Amino acid sequence: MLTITGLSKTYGNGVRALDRVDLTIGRGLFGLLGPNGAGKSTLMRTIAALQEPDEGQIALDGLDVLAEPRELRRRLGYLPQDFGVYPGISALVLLDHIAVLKGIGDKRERREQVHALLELTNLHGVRNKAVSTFSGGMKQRFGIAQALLGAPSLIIVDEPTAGLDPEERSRFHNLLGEIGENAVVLLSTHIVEDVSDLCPRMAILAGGRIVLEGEPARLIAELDGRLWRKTVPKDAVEGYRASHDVIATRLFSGRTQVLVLADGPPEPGFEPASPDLEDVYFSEISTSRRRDGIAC
Amino acid sequence: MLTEIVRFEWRFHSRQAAFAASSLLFFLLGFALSVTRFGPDNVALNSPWLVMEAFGLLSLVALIAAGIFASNAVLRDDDHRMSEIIHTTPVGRFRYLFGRFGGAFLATLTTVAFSGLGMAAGALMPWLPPERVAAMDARPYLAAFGVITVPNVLFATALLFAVAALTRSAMATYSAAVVLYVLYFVCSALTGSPLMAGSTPGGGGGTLPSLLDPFALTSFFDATRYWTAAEKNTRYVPLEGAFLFNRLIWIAAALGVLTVVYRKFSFRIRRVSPRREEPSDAIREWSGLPSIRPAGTSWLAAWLSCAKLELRTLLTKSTLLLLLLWLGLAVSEIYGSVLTGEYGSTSYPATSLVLAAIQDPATILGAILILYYGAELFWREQRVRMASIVDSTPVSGSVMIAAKWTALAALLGAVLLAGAAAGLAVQVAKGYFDFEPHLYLAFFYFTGVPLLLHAAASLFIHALSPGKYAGMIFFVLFVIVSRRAAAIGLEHDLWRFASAPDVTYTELNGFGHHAAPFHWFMLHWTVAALLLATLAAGLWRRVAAPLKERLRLLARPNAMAIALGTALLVTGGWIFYNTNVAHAYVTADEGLDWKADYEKAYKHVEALPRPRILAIDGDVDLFPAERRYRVAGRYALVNESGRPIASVYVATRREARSVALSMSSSMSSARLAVKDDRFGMYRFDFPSPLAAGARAELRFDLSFEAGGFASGQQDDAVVGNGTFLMNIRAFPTLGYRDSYEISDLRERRERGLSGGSAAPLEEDGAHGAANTFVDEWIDLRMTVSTDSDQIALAPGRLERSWESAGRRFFRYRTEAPILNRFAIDSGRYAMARRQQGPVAIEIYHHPRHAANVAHMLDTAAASLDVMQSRFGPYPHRQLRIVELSSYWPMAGYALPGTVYIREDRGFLTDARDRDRPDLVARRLAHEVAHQWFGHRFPVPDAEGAPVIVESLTKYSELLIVERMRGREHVRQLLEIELDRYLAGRAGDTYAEVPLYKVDDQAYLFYNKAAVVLFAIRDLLGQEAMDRAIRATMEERRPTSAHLVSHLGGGELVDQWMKEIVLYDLRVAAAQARRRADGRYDVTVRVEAGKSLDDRPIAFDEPVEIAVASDTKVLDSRKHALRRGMNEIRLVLDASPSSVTVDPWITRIDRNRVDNVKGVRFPK
Repeated sequence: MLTITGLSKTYGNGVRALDRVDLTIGRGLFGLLGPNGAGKSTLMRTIAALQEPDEGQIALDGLDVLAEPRELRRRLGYLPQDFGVYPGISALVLLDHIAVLKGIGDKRERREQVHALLELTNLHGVRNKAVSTFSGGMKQRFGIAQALLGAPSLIIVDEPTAGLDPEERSRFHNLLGEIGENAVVLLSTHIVEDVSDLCPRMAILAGGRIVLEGEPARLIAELDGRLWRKTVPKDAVEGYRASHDVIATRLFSGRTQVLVLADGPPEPGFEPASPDLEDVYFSEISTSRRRDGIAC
Repeated sequence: MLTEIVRFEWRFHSRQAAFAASSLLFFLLGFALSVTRFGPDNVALNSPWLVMEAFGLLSLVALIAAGIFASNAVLRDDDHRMSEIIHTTPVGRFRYLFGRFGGAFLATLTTVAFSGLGMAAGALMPWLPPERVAAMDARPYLAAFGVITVPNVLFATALLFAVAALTRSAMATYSAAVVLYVLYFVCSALTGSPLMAGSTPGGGGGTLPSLLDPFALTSFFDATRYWTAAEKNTRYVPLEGAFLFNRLIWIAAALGVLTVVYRKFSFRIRRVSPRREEPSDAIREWSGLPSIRPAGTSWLAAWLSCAKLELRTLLTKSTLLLLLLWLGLAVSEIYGSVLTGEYGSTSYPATSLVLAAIQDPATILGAILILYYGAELFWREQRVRMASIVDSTPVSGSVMIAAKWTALAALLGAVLLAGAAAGLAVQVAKGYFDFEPHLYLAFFYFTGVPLLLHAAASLFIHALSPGKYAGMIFFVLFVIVSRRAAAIGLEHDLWRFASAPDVTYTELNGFGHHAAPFHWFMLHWTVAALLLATLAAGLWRRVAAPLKERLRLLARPNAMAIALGTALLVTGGWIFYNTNVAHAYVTADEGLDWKADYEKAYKHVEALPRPRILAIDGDVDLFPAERRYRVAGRYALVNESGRPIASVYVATRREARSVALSMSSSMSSARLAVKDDRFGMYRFDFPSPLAAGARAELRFDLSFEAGGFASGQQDDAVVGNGTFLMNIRAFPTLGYRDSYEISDLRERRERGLSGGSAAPLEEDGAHGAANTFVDEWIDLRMTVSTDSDQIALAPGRLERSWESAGRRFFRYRTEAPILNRFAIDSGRYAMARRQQGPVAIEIYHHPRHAANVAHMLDTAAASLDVMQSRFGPYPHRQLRIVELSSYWPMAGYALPGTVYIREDRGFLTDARDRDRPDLVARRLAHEVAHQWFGHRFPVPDAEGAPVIVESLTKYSELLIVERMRGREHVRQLLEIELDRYLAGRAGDTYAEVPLYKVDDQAYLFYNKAAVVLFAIRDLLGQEAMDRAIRATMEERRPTSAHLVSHLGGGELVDQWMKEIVLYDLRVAAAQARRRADGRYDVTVRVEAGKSLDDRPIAFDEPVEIAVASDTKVLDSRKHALRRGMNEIRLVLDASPSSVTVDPWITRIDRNRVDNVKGVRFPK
């Protein structure tokens, strides 16, 4: 159980990256959605004890993370959004090295875990090749392997499927699902599908605040009957934006569709749309932006 | 478009923290050069010459800036993963490359330009002596910047840019920078640059090093080698000859390098063949995830794993190449300083000499490597973007810092190992197998530890720095401050990180008492380094955080840091106790103030009459192992002043721990009226004045011991082995001690003291001395006791020696009066002996240093022969030659009956090669000759005195060497003397004076005198010369004026002795024609000129002209030459090949190269 209370962080340049964030995350996959700059990375890095908040508390199964970052790191698996590796070092050596750093001191145990994870991520065949020469997908898999070392009880994965093709993504999802049975898995992403596919619970972070938290299905249900769509000429979009609560525009077979949030049919020509998680996301983001006075 | 890119690049660089830091660094460096009064005292800080030298030296630092901007220009795309974007934009290769290069070049040039501003600003500081600052003028700065800095920066930036662009590797770029340093070091090693081993500028390296030095310092020093201060103040180095060529070569090289980059550079992203994906099976179906939680790794295991990875990074081809290059440099360093020493001599490659030769280069190289590799290692996780993975593991920052420190230590170890390998290789190559492994180990300790500590400091500096490049600049600043801050008043070693009092290794005494202070200081600095490393470890996960946050982290209490901080206070306190409480701590300024105050307080005493010492009866107890000694005894005094003496001043060294003095005459005992502890001065008043002719006695008992240790210069007189205790350091003296007077004129002026030079020479030579002069001839009886395994020496015959209570006693007594200067020696010597007539020649030497002993005995015998036959008998029954340890600055030293030769400047000299100058014979002959000139008669302390004491000795030395090795050998030596004179007058801080008025200018009384006195002998003949010298010795108090008058007052002799004349002799043409009778008609055209104070003067004198065939001299005789062109016709029996004017070097000629010319045979 990961409990976050009142977490705030303001950077030197005045950007308020986290604004009194409260979250309680139980075992299983938890999706954190948010646009770029919403504070996702700050939140992730703060939970991973890579940086310190200005105020607030983080507890993992009763462990005060901020007071004992080292203890947290023993239980942490972290897959950063964008990472590199030491050049010229083979997958086997590098994974073994990270295992040592993670505290797997027993040599035999370490070897077993390293080999198992290389097998799992299907890197065993290239274990003696330098990770720096890997393609994007292979490198990402290496990242997953290192995050799973030492059976962590908290796993933070930041945009994990960015470099993966659909097939790999699906397998990776399965894997995360499995892991979620025994650990808190915090999945940060801006791909809504990842969350809807995987996460029993989720939150949306915008402007440093949690603007929505809950189970995806229930959140979707809340939009039921309030979402309307209409195919309009491209140059009419601005007009709709001014007069309606447009949460998104999307291209559908080359034509523009506007999605409008309203309790009844906004005007003739709109038809009801069945909401999905993406709509929830867009609706929250657009509300939050309007509230913060940020022009889209 | 190109200018657009350059402008963009310029904006990019100039907004980096490194740019600001680097500009600041250069400004401070320039400022520091000026305010620390860089350069000779009589050359203005803003003179063309000095400004150019400064820009040249700063070029070496500019290399660091060039490396930073060049690698940032190329590698930042890769570092920031912009390559794909940049390389796919339509910008062309040409514009991309030269835009980037232009930006880096401009940025480097701009930051270096700040040094000029710094220098100029520094020169304007009001406290600088006005004579060091000329009217402010921008031209010297612009000229030096244009001629030196622009090409240097162009080449350095081009080369480093090229390496960065072609390898895309920061490591390779840094290696290239180090290679440039190595190239510079090799050139300076070949020429003796002022940066290496602190020798004087220039060494006549010749053209090749002049051209090879990419920074032009070598050619600059070469071109201005004979420039006088006046020239340095006003002249600009002409862009001609080797200097011009050097500049052109390196500009061309820069352009060539850029062409190569342009041709070879490819936009393709460097990636080693990406592996094929295996999409079907990318992630296996679930099969048992690790379930075992980490039990925790030991710190040691984590460190080991990290260190292994760090070492793998270091172990690249460029590192190996670098080590190989260094190996080569080390070998050439050893050849340069051990195997080709002063006067072209050579030494045995003794381990201590070999290691001393590479210690400084190894230290400099080590610091440069820390600069580059420290930065690279520290920022590696950030650079390869692995920091968040590593930082999210529980590994502690201390593991990471320790691993990086370990990697740097391994690199430094490899440098020292390569240095040691070079040393061994040279020893083996020279057939020298006495390796002394403990010295090699000591090399690692004494050279390695300070470097290791700097490595830790560099990690700390980076942990606090805004980025890698700024960190590098801060590290440079840190090193300069910690090594050079004594110049700005931070003299105490406790001020300067990783510094310790200098450790002198001597063959006789090993590391001796210098080792303990070093150990303590290193312990102290190790604690400091651990503290810095601990703090760096604490910052490890926050190196990307804003400085404020990192400072807040630093301030957080940390048990380890507090413990180390406390330990630091303890070690620092202990050292402070030793250096400042148990030992008197005196800064350079305080020391000078003390001397000035002494002079002001007691100068009047000099004019007072004082009794003279008739005899000394003394007991000296030496305890070499404990470095303490006691001196007791009595002086028999007599009042020969012709006046009654009411009070007598007695001076003792103020360092004495206990002093007991008493004075009495036959009538009464004197009262101790004044006791001045600050200066060690005592005044005794007689109840009734000591009448003229009356006798008195001074009894004394003084003891000295070494308490604590010094920060800076240690006291090296009484030491474990090889004690050399001069009388003034132990025995009381009567009256004023003028040896305390400050000789430096500037320091005197600043303290309100006038004069300082010797009393003016009185031309008539009537008496030639101040009226206080005391001819103190004494009889000496001395009992010396020492440790039981040592031999103690004092002047005179050894009457008796015995052992008692585990100590050895030696009783000496002089058989003829000596001037009152002597020393006590003690050591574990071996002794060699030869009887030469009534004189026993004895050599006391280090048992391992026997190689030159036979040669020294021969030389001493020959010296006695030559000197006795020409200048009168030797007054003593012993001639002792004692090996002196290298604590002492002099190569040789002479006292009555005893001469000293320093271990590394005589005993380790390899004199076997007959083609090289025989330094052993020369040096020993010189010291033996001092028994006649210096110790046979007193010389008044006035202008020209060194002509009698040193010049005649120098002349005798050459006579002795001529007897032993022949005239040609002396000619070779004179060639060196002439060069040293010309270079000496160029580097002199004061105005050159005529030889007969010389005071303390060694290049005159040694080097010029050698040429001039041999020229006079050539002019007058040996007999007349000997007669003149003997007549001078007959004078009661001989002066140089006596010598000149006894030499007969010929016009030429007067001119050479009393004026400063320069000759310019040149063989303009030499032609020969074979005659019908088989002989040869030779026509030689010689141009002759002579100048006095730069004005041409008349020339009418005989000069020798030699004509030689390939194998022998065919004709050599004097011809009367006149100013301008002279034609000489000769008829010779054999075919001539060359003509030389003035073959024996009897004229001061700045260009001797054109004195020789090959003979042409026209059709």
